Amino acid sequence: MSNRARILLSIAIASLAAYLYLGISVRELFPRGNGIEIVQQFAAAALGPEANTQNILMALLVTVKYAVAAITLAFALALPLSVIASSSFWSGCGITCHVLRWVVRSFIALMRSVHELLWAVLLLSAMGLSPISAVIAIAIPYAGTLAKVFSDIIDESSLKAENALNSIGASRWQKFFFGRLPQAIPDILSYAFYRFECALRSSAILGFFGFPTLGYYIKLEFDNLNYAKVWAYLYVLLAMVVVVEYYSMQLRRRFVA
Amino acid sequence: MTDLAIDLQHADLYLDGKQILHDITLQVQHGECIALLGPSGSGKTSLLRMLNGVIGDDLKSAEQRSHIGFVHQDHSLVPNVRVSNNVLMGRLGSLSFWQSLKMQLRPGKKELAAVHAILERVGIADKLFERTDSLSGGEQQRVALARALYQEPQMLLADEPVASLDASRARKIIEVLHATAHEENWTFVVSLHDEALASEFFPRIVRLEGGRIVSDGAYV
Repeated sequence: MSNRARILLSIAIASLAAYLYLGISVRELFPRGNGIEIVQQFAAAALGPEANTQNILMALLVTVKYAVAAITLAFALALPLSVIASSSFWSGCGITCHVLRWVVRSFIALMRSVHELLWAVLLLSAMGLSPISAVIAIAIPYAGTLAKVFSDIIDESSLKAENALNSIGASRWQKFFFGRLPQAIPDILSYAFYRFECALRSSAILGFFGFPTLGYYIKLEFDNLNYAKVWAYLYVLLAMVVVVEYYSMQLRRRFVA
Repeated sequence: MTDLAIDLQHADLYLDGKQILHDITLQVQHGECIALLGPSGSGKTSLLRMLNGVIGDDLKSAEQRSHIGFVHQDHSLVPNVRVSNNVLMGRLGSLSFWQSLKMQLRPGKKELAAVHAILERVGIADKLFERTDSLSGGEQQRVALARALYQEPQMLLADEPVASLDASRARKIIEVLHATAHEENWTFVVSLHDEALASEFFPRIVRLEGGRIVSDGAYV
């Protein structure tokens, strides 16, 4: 058996074991009893959404504001951290530099290993229901993820330009900042745009904790069984993601092309 | 009195435990122009890199390398920045980090005029503010040449600098490089695959085969 086949078989066995352990059965996929009626009502409401324009616009604006503030903060934190975490920044440097790099990498891992919802719970207890707690709750794990991916992008950039600058006497920092980093910028921006879309979704979901984003109104209307209004907010969320995806694709093309 | 820019005596080169160059003896006067000829894998690129001081026993410091221009066969430009930025990078070795940062972000009129003049000499002045990766392979090679010319080195090493150009452009570029080296009294060592081009411009031709110099002198 080849290595690839062995890996695929291991993954298949692990998945099957997980399903068996959890006791998931196909029958549970289908609603029973009262559930069928709720599903029917919810599905029927999809065709006639009821919009409260003022609430929708306010929730949309707050959702976008939280996401923009969070991703900006995350990007500002991630960029310097990613440079310090990349191995190419420290090439030719001694053991002290590598220790510092691993300290930063561990810090980045810590930031992203806790989900934004958990950060939100922690920050809500510490700071209350203020916009800053929502922004920080999103920004911390996003900064960790951005920094990790940015540092990988930087390390995977072509060495050619850096070698060329080395041959004409450029210093270590000049080689990194003028030879390597500019090559990584389009991919860094492209990934940051993608994470902005994710931040919009996270911002909406934080509404379930009481922040006045789209999620707050979705939960409120769902609890009141106003499925038509739930659908209105869901359609707005979908439209927002599609519009942002379209514009970020345009921007990505501009930077990457 | 000797005035040697290059003085290799029975030099060997090993890379990853494998011997690449054997018993190389090469002396080149300051201001002399020579061409390296030889089939692929004969050691031309390794010899040039050894002269550059980035491999071998006689490694050169960054300060020493800042006086040596190097044109790579594969251009080795920074792809997604402007042509002007790539050319300006030629002088990184003689600038501090902060000076080079200022030059990259906000180059002065004087620097841009100098870059424009050099691009004019290599025939792509109209590409000054274009993104480097939007240029053709031949144009990118000329940007790499412009970067080396902007550096104003004491010695210019060029590894197949006209490989991606058509015959007439290749001749023109070698003419420009040769004339500039003469005017500025640069030592110029270039590897070429075109024997006719080498014989037309270079009175001294060094032939390599299997990592050894097999002949050194006028074109035969």
